[in-house]
Amino acid sequence: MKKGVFLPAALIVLLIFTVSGLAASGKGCITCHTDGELLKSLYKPPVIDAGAGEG
Amino acid sequence: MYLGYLIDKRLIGKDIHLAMGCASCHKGNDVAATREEAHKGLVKRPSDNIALCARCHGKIADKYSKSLHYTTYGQRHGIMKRLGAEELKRFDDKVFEQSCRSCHASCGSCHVKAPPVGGIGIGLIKGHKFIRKDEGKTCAFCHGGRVYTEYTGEYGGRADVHYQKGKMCIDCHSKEEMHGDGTRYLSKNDVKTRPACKNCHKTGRETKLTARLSHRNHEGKVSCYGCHSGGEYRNCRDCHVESHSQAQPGFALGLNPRDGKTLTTLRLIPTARDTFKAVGIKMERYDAVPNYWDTPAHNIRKRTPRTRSCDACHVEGKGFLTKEQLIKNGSKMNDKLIVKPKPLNR
Repeated sequence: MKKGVFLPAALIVLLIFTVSGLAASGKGCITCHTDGELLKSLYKPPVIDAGAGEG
Repeated sequence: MYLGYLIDKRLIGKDIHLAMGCASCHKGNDVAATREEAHKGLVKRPSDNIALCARCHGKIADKYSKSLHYTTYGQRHGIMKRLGAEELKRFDDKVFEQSCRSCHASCGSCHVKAPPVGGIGIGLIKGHKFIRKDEGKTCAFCHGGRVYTEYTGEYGGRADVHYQKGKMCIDCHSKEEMHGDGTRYLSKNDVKTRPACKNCHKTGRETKLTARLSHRNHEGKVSCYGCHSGGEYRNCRDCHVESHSQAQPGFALGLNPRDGKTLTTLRLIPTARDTFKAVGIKMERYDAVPNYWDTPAHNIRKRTPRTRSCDACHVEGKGFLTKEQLIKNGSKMNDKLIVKPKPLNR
């Protein structure tokens, strides 16, 4: 496998195992919600309700 | 934005709220292996259930549950005078419970996570710290359409002099006012702890003789805002259930509809004759109340054209509401707010 492909793939696998492993240890919320990089990778932007107004 | 969900690590072990564990408030599953499982049953805004905060903050929570920020009764009270009995029932069912009530502020809206407006929010105010206040990230979000931007000058006019001197919302709107005093008020105008200019600015203590005389001559006849509003403020119009209101700057002096005698700054409110047409409410008593209401414009200046010269009002009649300026197809009560400035005896 080329080095350029292997490294990102390895990182993704490592990330998945880290997240699930830590979550299973009972500190799941804190693990993800205190790690900026991890949270960024998991974050899905919300769908904006264009109809909502302001007060 | 993901940063809005990022908890400050330093708070863990220090903040008693966090020491109870996330699930004690947010539910969900804190031993789950995946993101989806962890978030199953998650309560995003736990303090919507005020009983949760009441476990420790019983007195405040009890009072707050009756406050206008929580009940949002002010919005209902404003419109109910235009509705017949059957219409009010329909309004409660179709509009108040489904729309107005969704705007209420929970404890967390001010102390933990900035309230989203139009689906957009900054998330956690300070990494999930339970803060006492941060008006720019809390009050400003819900009240950013009108008063907050007037206050800071972001709406285009000059900033309020109190803002320039470093005063923020809570300096006038006390925590007692925000948390409520245990009375279930129907309108902000009834709240006993609401601020008043005279709480700080006592008449008779003015350093300048002209100011002292002006205050004495106008006391009970003109509100403080009438002279000290710095200029145009935001007026919203034509709000409909299916489309939102239009805003434009404006300034109008007229009679306070609440007492019918004091000259004050009036703000056009967004309710139009057909605002609730889409939900089958005609507003059979639409003309019972006007479209312009007294407003505490949050753009106070010590010197304005009206404090500089008597002529601004008494000769030129600047800023006085006229029949020509009234909105088209507005309430018949609008006419009663028009007042002509008194000529000077020279």
